[in-house]
Amino acid sequence: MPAEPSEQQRRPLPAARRPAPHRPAGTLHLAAVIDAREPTADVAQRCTETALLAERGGLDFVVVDSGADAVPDAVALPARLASVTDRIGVLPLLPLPALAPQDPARALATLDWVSHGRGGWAVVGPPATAGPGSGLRRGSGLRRGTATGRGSVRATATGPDAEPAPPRAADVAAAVAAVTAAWDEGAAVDGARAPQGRPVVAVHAAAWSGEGRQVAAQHADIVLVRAAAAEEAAAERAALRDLAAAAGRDPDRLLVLADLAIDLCGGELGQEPGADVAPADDGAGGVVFRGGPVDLAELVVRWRESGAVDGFLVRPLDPRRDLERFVNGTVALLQHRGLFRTFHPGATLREHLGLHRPAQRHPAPGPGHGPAQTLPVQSRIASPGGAAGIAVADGTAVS
Amino acid sequence: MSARRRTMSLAVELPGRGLPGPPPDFAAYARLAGAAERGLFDFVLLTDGPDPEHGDAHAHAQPHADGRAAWPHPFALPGGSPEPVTVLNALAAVTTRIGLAALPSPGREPYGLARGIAALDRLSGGRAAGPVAAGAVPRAGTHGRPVTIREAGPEDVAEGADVVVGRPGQSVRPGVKLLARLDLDLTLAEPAAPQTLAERLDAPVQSGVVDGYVLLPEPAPAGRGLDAFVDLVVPLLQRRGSLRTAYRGTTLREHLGLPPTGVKGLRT
Repeated sequence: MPAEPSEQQRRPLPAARRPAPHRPAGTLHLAAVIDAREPTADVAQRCTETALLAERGGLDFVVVDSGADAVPDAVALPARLASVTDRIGVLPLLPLPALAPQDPARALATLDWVSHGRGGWAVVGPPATAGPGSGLRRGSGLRRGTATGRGSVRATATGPDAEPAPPRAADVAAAVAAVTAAWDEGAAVDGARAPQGRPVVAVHAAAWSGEGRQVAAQHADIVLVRAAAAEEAAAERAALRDLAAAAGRDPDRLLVLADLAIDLCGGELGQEPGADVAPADDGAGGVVFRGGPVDLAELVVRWRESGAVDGFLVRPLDPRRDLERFVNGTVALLQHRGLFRTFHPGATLREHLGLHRPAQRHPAPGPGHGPAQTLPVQSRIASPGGAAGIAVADGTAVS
Repeated sequence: MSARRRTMSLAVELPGRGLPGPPPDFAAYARLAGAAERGLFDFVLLTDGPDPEHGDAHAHAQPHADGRAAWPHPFALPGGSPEPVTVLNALAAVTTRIGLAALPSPGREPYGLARGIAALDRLSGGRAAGPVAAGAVPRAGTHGRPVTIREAGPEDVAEGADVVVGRPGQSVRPGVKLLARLDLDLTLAEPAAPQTLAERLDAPVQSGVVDGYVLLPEPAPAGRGLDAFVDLVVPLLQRRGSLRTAYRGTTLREHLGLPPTGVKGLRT
């Protein structure tokens, strides 16, 4: 039930206002990684507390890293977290399907069903040998590539003994598309369906030796980038938006989130007044922010206001301490300044992300021209999770 | 006192095969599991849709060969029904004691399934059960290996499992728990119905024909058929000394009275 376009929406945009790299995006999106790779006896309890804390902070979603390569294994903890939370989105880190896309498609659809529309899929690249930045797991605070379990994915192994080559973007994209298509097929039966119609897909731009960009441009709802400076992030966002537009998509439907490890011990140490705290290379292909919660809030504001990113995915180095400081310090400050939601106005993850409306037909842009002037950002602002938005919560993207 | 009475195992099968009417909601599953836990059942059982290869909603509406009702296939997800292990993980979070058993379709990739059952067992504190092949996972949890469960087949005795779901009197290996599937159609208009049902359930257990039952509750008013059973029949069975009055352990293995297995791969 798309709302009638408002007067403002009907008015053609002046060329200067067409979606441009530095134009500030809509709502600020914040998310956190839950590291559950250590299978201690209390892992369920620990991760439940973390997810509830993230939900209290109004975060869009959590990415759950169970360290698992097999499908039911990787979705186990997310399913558990989904049933004890009410609002926050839950994305398992899950490898690409090797052969049968039905397996992950079904598990992800079940997660979406259990959570009443809060499920998603953080697509993992093949670990270990696929080169630097091969997937979501690489980088600071998370596992460097380790042994590959059976059931993990090597989309383009060249032979039984060959070192697995990183899959080409086309292969990855095909696998992601196959999972989505399995959802679409499911939706064709009987009217019952996974609540969100399509899985929310998150991809790291650096995955698969950088081919993640192409995959993201074609299939992702969320793309994660690593950048140590706002300018760097802005350039990456602009490039990704151009790629999305070139793929015939509305670039506003590809949210660019900075992937940032956070070490918020700085709050205790006391920061030098006026010190400009910037993220630094963590030496493992990732970026880490070290400082206090207030410093981080200032960084979020700076990056946001320059239109460098649509939001942040934080990886707390110390899961308990850093997420608590992030929620109670950084997020609270952003909320106080009116820059971040204080509650979840919508019910589904797509609503949190502003991606619940059916995609608009997006013609491929002409050469040298920006993306077509569709206005989903404006319409998002016009009714942030309002009744009209909820009514189309399960709207499937037109393709 | 007469000879020690045999204690009955009770389980409830969640409608993985679907419900008539509107699509099932996870909350309905959670209510059923909660009712079963209130009734001190051993486990909830979740099976796959009848034919995950085909999504035709109405091709499966005929009754099963054994006469058991088959509801129309409602769950229009890939695979035709919710993925059992994923649903059980979600149920694990909203229950504390009851066992969580999955009987996915035989076509499932066994290693991934075994990993899934092991993860469920780990996250639920030893409450998982899965198919026999899944028990052979090298990564046993801190609670030993998960309980194994299977449908009775023509081969019956050949294959080992801790729990077999079949019919009364079926031959199983010594030590294997035999649970009979039973449509739970509790007509409460008749005041004597709970008493009659309790007696009819108890007699085969005491005579050793069966160790317990997997109840298939009337699905239409979600949970109500089971709620009535828990409220009216369970106390009668407890009074007869045929049903526990409290969970004595925390794991499914303990609920079933199965011997503990060696704890392998202990990692705490």
